[in-house]
Amino acid sequence: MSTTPRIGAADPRQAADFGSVMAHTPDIIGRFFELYAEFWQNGVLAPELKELTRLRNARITDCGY
Amino acid sequence: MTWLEGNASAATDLSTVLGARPELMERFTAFYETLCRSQAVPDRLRELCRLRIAAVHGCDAEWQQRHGHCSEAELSALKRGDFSMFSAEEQQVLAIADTIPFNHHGMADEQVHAVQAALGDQGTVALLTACAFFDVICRWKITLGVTA
Repeated sequence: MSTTPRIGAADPRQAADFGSVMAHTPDIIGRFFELYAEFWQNGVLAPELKELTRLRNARITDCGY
Repeated sequence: MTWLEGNASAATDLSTVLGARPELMERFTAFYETLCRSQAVPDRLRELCRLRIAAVHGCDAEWQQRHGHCSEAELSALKRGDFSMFSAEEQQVLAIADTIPFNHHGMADEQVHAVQAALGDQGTVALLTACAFFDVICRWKITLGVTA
């Protein structure tokens, strides 16, 4: 498991986080955010239920981010 | 078949099931096509990773999809997890694809840095993102019980 970011931010003035690293592929992350927004903002599942599953998934996969 | 009510007796694929949420399907399709057409990663490397991840999951619905040419010998090797017949660069990315489904914390920095040296930052981000979503697709298809 990496303890430091393996890939730096696309803009070297920024800290390496999910958004700044994914900015290396702006076309991909742009489409991803459109998809993710649709998932979170619409649909028949309550936001609280989606958040519960997101947190549980993060815990199971040991993703501290 | 799928477990979803209304489709239980029909052979279904992922797009049929996602058709229950057309707005979500539209955005998913746009995202996935962008991911799979990115010029930052050679098509063959991406396809090898997709097939290896499908093999690790035992996801026949994904394994049966063919988006590029692989010989029968290559397909057999991918299924066995024997990467010796592939080029050094292909072996590097396949090693990463191998770890993502069930050993993502086991991936070493050196593995990523080797790919980074070959593909650059943009290619590495595109490849790792593709691998992560190939993993998602397999889990998705297996969970939904779709056939393609």
